[in-house]
Amino acid sequence: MNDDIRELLARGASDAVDTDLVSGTWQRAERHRRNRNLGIVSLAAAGLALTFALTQTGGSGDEALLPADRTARQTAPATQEPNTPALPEEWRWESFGGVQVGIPGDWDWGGPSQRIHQWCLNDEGDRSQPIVGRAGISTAVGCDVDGGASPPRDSLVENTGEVVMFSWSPQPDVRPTEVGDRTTVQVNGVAVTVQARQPLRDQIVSTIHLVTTDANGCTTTHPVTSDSSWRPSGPAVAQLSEVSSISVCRYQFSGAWPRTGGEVAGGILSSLRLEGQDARQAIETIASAYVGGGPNNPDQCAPDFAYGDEAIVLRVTSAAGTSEVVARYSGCDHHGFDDGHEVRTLTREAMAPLIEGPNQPDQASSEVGDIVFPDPGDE
Amino acid sequence: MSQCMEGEFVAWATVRQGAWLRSALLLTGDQASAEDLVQDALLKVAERWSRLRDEAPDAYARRIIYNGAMSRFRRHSREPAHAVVPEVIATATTDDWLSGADIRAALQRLTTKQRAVLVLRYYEDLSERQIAEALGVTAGTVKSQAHAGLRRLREELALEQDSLDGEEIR
Repeated sequence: MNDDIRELLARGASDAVDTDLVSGTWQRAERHRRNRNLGIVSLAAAGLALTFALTQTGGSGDEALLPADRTARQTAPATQEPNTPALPEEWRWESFGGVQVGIPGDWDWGGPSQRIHQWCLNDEGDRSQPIVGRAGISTAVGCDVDGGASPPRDSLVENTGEVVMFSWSPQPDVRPTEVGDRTTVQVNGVAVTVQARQPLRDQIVSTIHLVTTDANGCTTTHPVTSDSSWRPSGPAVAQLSEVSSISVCRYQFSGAWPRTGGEVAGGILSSLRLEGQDARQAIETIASAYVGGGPNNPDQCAPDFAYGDEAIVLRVTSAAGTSEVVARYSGCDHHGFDDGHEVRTLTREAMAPLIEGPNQPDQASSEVGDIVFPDPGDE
Repeated sequence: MSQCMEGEFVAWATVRQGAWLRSALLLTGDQASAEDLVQDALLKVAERWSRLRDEAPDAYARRIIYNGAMSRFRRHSREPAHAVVPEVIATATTDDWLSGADIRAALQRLTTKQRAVLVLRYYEDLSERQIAEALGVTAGTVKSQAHAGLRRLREELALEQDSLDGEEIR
């Protein structure tokens, strides 16, 4: 039965042109592994350097802060609302959907869905590096087919390492729930999953609070979340002078569904802040990109998905005050840096400082894949 | 040790790449996307080879490919890409005239889950239980998707429907 279907599928598959997909794969995998390990080592080294420097300078130590030290940059928030809890020394703030959480400064950023739901694939390197991240795609290996242990094995730090995960959640606010090494806090349409050993877990949970503007100066909502074609109305990026800082705010559009499987109100996904020379350099690089936008491939998606599901808004502080630039990279069309006057082409160099750490998108269309996800081997 | 593992991986991957490329071609409809899917799966397996080599690298790679195909589709379109499909497929009681491209185009009119289930069932010849594990869905979903997918594919290809319900999914 249905042998005709078998025959037809075999015919449809037979046109595949055999090609070598194996050569070089092992070497690329080794580069990825090495890159990940280097990241862990450099974070640890940065932490040690900061500790040492603060000790040597009696603890005040602005002069000791390294430009590359993300922890140090974020311990002095751009904005701090009145209800903000105290942040332990050397921690940083992370926000998502108007919920802000304190995170130990030496934690890396990563894909928490994979780390938790695919716990059986984690190796020692994974488990030894704590991460914070936003829920996203993961593979679908059946890690839970071992008989439904209690507590679930994906709730134990020994299997997952220490993880904080933000995700959209339609559930009403409830009291925090606990299972295994996990505490889940449900607030403001956001679920914060904190999986860590005690007392660190309680310490992280105690920092959770609501904000309207996060520590990096990003508002938790923005017009672009409800109108993905929204354009700024300030000065052109090429006219900006005396740039002193940029709040780099990554927003999810309302109605976007890939992360949740359902409708969401939209809002801030993550943020970072560039100051001083880093900020000036970022704006100069954007301003030097060609006018015209792209790369685009509008034939690759339905019109209602042309803008994708997220964008980054730059809130630039300069001699002109505060102005905005929208970076679009998520759909198949309208890509580029839009200052409301012109749209400039996305380039890897211009995007790189905007998508570091918490702002790394977990998906991008193929047209901009090499810009948003550069192969470490190409660096 | 590393060279030994590399040799194992290359031997394992070389044997399988052709078959996966053909499955991926059915899933995506074009060679370049199929190559991307398979390369991505091979890379992920290679990164975790030390853990997967003694377990189930084939099952893991298959899940990467099929989930990648579904993620790719979600990313690019909420509806199947109709642009490459002929407006009208002539009615026929024989399939002799259907080319490989016709068949792939018809497959692209199915939902991603229907397409995945049909390819796993009728091209890779997996059982219902194996398909459910590969896609992370229930056996009931496999059954319903296979039923709907077969009906739709036969309509798209203007094939006779009489064998539609004649076979139980194992």
